[in-house]
Amino acid sequence: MRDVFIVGCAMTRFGRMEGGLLDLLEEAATGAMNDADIDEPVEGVFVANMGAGILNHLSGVGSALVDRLSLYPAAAETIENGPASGGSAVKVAYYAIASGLVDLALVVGGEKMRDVTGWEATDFVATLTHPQAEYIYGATLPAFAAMFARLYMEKYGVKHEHLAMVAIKNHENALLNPYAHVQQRITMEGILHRPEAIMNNPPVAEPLRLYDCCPVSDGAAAVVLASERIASKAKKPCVRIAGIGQATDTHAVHERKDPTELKAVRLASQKAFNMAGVKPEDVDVAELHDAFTILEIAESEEAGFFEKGKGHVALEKGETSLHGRMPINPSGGLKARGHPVGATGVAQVVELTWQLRHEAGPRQVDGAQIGFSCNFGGFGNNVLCFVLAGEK
Amino acid sequence: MNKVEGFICRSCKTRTYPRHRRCPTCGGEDFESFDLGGRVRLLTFTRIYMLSLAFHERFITLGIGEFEDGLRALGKLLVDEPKVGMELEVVTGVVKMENGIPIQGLCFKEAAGA
Ligand SMILES: [Zn+2]
Repeated sequence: MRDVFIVGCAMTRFGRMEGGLLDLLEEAATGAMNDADIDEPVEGVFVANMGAGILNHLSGVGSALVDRLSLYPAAAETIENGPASGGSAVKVAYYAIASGLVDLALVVGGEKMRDVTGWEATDFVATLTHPQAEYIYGATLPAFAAMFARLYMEKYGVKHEHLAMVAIKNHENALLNPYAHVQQRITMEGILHRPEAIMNNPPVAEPLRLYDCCPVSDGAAAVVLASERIASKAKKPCVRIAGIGQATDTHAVHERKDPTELKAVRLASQKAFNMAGVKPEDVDVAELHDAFTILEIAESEEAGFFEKGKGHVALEKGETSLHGRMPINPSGGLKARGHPVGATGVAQVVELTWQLRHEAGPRQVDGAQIGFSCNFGGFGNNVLCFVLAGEK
Repeated sequence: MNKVEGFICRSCKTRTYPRHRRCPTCGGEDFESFDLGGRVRLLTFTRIYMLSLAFHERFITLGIGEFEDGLRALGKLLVDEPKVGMELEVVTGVVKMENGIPIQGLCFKEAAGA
């Protein structure tokens, strides 16, 4: 297998955006190609999108993007793997380059979710769930996170305050990220303790409340991947994709043996670390899939950064803060950068690329060399993890 | 009322729900079906306020129930104050209205004498 490098990256701002899905994809793609500034033909275009068919009455998104960018006759596909579509697109482009079939590939992830109402967006994401055993009951993704949180909190002594600490930290980080959807400082008092907190922060699916959940966002993110031959000519520092891991789990959540475990996260992380030949303790910065606050805590343990049941303790001590021992979600994470589902896995890689090129401005993690991302599909039934390495 | 079916693998006797074409334990493809019923212990639950399309209640309550042999299922909770660990009776009932048509599914109600 050949080495694969990230030679360019960009993203649109996340939030409620004007224009259509293709406009967002076009903006991110153009930004990444300009950032790469490489005068060679793009041979493969991999577009991550979960719901254009449902949300935007649009199909063939990959082909449409090639046309917008006049990249013909580049090979193109649209890749759908739920909220892990972005990770999957990066992985497939990696395969293309590592195999030797392609030298230069464009990966773009995007979603336009605010074209529909909140009920429709909730229903759209819920179509991921098992059709007969979950969906018909009105089970939503927050509902699964809530049932998981109830057990996790009981078993490990995680309190509402710990969940709020994840939200507060990620909102703070997002204030340093001009691309983030949510630009709002929140306090423990305001979302939990003051009498009006129940109005500001109502229950979504008990025990989870509004500020435990990511927003519904529009946005796109893109990376340009290249073989060593091309990367050696790049003007910017290159970031190497050192490890990739992916694992699946049961479709119906109730079939998992341990309901407080995210097994696919653990297995995908281990694969990524083994491939990269590094350990969790070597990681300088991580982007985790905090669609719900409880997931950041649980994933930080399954990935091996903290002992099982101790993630909330590390959080409380500030270890996961921007200048802590193990900074998590400097971008603001899904919680505050936002979660345009098809874009997220790519946006995580974009943030890590900026971090490893030391271009992250006020949210830069000092001296970051190794980055890790976790992109969580379904309620953990398809997970992708990446280990990225900056130039020494 | 239509019952919800579970499946017993004829080779390894593992009970599964929902249906898999291949047994998750042994890979067998020969199953006998049975009606899910009897009693479960409530493993976890949530009250959902931000509802999906087609749900017009103020909230719905869902939970995962565990049968004695460890088989589990998600169902609608017909209990005012659910508590983890409580014993519940499995019945079939309407879980959703889809274009005016009732959809049947698993419901958990307070077990008599529990
Ligand atoms: Zn079997």
